[in-house]
Amino acid sequence: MGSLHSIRRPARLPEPGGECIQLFEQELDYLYGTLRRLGAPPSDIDDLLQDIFVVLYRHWPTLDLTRPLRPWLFGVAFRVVRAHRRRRARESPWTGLDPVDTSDGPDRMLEGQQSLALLWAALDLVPSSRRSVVMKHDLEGLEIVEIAQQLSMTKFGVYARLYKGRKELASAVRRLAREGVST
Amino acid sequence: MKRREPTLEPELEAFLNPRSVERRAPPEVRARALARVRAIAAAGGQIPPNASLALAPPPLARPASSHGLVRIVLPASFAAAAVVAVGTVAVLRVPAARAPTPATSAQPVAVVFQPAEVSSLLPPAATPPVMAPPKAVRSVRPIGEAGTTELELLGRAQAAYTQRDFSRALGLLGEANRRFPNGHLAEEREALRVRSLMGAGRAVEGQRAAAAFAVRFPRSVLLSKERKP
Repeated sequence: MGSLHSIRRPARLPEPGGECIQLFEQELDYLYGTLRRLGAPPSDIDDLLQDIFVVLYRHWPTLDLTRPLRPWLFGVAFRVVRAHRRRRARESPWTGLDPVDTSDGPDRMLEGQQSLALLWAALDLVPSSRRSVVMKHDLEGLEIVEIAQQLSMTKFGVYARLYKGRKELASAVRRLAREGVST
Repeated sequence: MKRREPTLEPELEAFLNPRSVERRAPPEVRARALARVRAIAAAGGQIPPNASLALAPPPLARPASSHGLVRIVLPASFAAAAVVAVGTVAVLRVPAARAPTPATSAQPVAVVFQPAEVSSLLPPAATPPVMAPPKAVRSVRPIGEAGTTELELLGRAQAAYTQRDFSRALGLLGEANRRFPNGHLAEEREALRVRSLMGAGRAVEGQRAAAAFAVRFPRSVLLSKERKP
């Protein structure tokens, strides 16, 4: 009988979804900040991160990693938070025997479908000098200092553009929503 | 006539009205998330039926009575304390020639901190947290040996707390309080004291300590008004 030492240890198998997990781990801080920014309560963060990973994992084979991923992750996070909120609303216990159905009606659902498209359309209406700052900070999660370096601006310049750009974005979103612009 | 504002979805409304939020995932959230995603990846993208229960790290000792005033996230507090202390020491050990390097342009140097107490809080599958250096150091005063000892004491108290040995935790915290009444980790120490008192069933003292904590550290991140559902 040969020595057990002569048996070669099998090569360690790569972790399933290793690259996907690695990328998720890299973007975890960004996702956490985005979820909190979108109003997700701290107690739901674990579930929401899990849902985002499931989407990322399922889209992994078709993802174009040469393009910036964070705007896409932002869209996923947005949809996941919205879906989670609706699910929670449906699952909330009611004391009444015949509770009122407060779930979203078709109009509201359509509005929900359009929220992201509305946001993208409104971003187009923000002047480019401020839009780039808003996108880098609020969508891509870059720090003020990084943006200042990238755009060769002072920090105060970035803050000023961010402040004004956000106001313009908010008013553009409301205007588009009010006008019922098809996005 | 006043124009009626359109109703936006809460998520969009929240995005358009940004408020200050933490942008870095706390270590325990990171550990839980990674444990979950590894299990999901191992299951081929399917969520295990008991993912949220089986994959969560062992629950910390819960207070004997729920107290709505404070919900103190203990692992986060301990990890934050460790990062502050280790980061302070790391910053202070930077040679003088490198000190003026602007923090804004410097490539962050990862500080790996994995004492046994913290590692025990993480699920086995989780990688040890690699923490970036803290953005701001609370004090420029050198910590030196005293700081290290304070951290060690707090670490031992944390370990006792996780083992539900509340009396020992309180004893260690008392010692830390005597030796370092205004130490760098006072906030974390007091937070742990509140939890330990509650865990020991000393609800009245715990509530009193919680109120004192809220007064002493009104802006503490360890002080949360949010209730768990």
